[in-house]
Amino acid sequence: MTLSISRRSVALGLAATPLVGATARAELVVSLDRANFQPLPIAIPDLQGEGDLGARVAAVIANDLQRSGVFAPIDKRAFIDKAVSPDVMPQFDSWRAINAQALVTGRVQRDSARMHAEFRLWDVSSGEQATGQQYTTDANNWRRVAHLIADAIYSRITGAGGFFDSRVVYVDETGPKQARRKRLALMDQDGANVRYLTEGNELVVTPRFSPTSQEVTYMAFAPNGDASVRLLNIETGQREIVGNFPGMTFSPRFSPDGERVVMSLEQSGNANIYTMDLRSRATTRLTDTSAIDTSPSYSPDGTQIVFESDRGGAQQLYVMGANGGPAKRISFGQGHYSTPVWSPKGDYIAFTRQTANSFGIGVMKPDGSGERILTEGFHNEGPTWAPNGRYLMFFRDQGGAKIFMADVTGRVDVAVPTPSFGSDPAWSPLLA
Amino acid sequence: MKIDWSEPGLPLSVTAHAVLLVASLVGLSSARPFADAEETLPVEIITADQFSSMTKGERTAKAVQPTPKPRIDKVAEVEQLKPSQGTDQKDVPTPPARAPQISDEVSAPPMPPPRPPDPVKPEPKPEPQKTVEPQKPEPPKLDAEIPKPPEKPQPQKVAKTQEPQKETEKPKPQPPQFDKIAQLLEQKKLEEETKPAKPPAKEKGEQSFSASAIEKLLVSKEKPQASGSVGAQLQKTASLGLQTGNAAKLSPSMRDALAGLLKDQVGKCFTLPPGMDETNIHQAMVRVVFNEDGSLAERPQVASASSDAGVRAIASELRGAIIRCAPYRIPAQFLPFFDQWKDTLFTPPESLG
Repeated sequence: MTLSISRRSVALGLAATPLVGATARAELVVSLDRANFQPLPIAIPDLQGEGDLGARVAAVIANDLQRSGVFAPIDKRAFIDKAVSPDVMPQFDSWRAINAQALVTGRVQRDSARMHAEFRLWDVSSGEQATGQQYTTDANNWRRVAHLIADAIYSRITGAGGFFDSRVVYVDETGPKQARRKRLALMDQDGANVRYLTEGNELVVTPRFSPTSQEVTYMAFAPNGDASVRLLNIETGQREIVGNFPGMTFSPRFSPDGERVVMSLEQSGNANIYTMDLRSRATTRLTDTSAIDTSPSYSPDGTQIVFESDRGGAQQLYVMGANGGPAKRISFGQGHYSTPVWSPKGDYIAFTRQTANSFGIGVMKPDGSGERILTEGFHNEGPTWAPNGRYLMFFRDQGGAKIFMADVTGRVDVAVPTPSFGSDPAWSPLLA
Repeated sequence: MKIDWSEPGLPLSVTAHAVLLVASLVGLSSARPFADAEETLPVEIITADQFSSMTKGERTAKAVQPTPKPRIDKVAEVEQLKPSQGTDQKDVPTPPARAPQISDEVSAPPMPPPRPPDPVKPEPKPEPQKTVEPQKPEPPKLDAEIPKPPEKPQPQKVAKTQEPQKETEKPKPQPPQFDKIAQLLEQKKLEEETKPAKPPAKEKGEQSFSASAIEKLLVSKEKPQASGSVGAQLQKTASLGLQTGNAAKLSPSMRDALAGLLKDQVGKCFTLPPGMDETNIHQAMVRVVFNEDGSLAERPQVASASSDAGVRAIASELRGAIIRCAPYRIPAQFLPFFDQWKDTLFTPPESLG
């Protein structure tokens, strides 16, 4: 599936915040000491466009923004102005009257092959435009346009990068518990556009996206019981086995440059970490202990690897150089630590922590400090990071696995809709 | 316990310590305790200059006038007495003292005797009646009574009895200017000193206590003697102070109080969506220009030159909050210092917590 997008970033109006020179000698300084957290009330009327296309785009935008926990889209039925053209200045009073602080106006137009979209984000309090963009894309990609608009709005309001224009690969589980059929599935991060990548003949687990190409690496159990790491090209469907290892390989991940896969190899009862160069197929052993070292994850700059090891007794997290060498323990709390994942921004490592009676998804700084549990319950597992390093998906098994999304502040916890049960989510980078 | 004198260290040490301890307990017990910490008061030191410029103007005035002038209640009376003929006043002989033989009919209001001789007074001819002529033309309200026939007995009202004199004054052979000038001067003096009617029995020069006179004074509705400050032009509106004085700065405690008030008011509107990038939050400042009534004089501006998206995002939210919560309540005590809070900088909290 080829996607061609050209984005003409025309500033449709003034930026909201002209930058005055350095703090020009105000006599009095008032320092606020706290902020109240409240999702931003935002009004997203239907975009102008043919048929219900504008309404559908607005609905996808509103859904994205609401799930992020940052925005509180106002119910359309409360709007005083129902239709707002993107070409005119809105009547801000009628938006202030419903307590909107932000307003989105826009238009979507489709011809035979292409779709054109434009939007403006207005700051209702000051009556100024905050940002605006135009997009051109394939005609059937109206959802992607909505996600791109949502990303632009999110970035402008929070100052962080967006994450809505991305996909998630996961393991879809259908059928009765004793005979679960597991297939690799691909979907938009909001649960739409589900597509199956494997047929379900083999048991598949822990799929992960390549950061640079349309490839997924995962582990599959062959019918004869052999388990090995595979590579799958999303576009072509082509699959291959990674390496020719004498034992079971599992828990694979790509390096940030997409050139290598790091994984765990089980031999004689213990497991060690290996990398394999995808082009040369050369393999390198990184750990050499009698413990079980598994679940490796690269730092975003590619210089370090965090992994899980029980060399100290219970499973804990360790960090070592990307070429092996001494490993430093970073987790010290109660329970067992597993499935560590380094965030794309490099400032957090997410993990699963298991105590006597619960599983929790948490984050800590790469040196092990600042540990926080974001969500706790029975069987939360397998976190994966959103492209902006601020949100996580994981799965929760409550009689059947379902995928959920949380944020690093612990305020968000929403379900990701999947047609059936789903586990082992892995988030792709931004698509554009 | 056996003391081993070959190794006296321990017992010696113990003894020495005990002696020291006892000595210090005894010797130092008479030391004086420290004085209790006294409650401190905030004190601000200003110079005499600062104090006087702080207290310029009138406290009860409403506002600072653009061009503050001293208060003037009454226009000074224009001096009409320009000698039109260029007469040298010195040449005019001084008039004699008032004639004491004032007839009852006339009963002019007595003049206080030690009056400085009025140089403009013309020398009266030896006509007793005429000398009394400096019954100046009474002020207009009394002039109205002139048409009354002089035969009417009006002994009580002194003023009215003066009217017959006016008639007799008319055919005066004296030069009209002097006459008029003299009359005006006399009138002025009369007004100033003899406004309240005095009983005819009062002789000039007598300053005896008269209860009825005082009573008349008290009920008199005539204008009070005090004329108020005099100047060239009426200036009824006092100024609250100087437009450009060197007033003292807001004291630190007042500054803190005002900052706290504004902080609380903006704080009500300052909500942030979760998930803001607070890495450089300290740069997200907003500059505000106030009007005196606490409303915003212009749209607040982001004060930092940072292009960081997180800074811009937080500053936008802060700016929106400041706009939503306007206008602000500024207590009147801060109004005199408007220049010092007109331009205010709002900064976000150090962390979002």
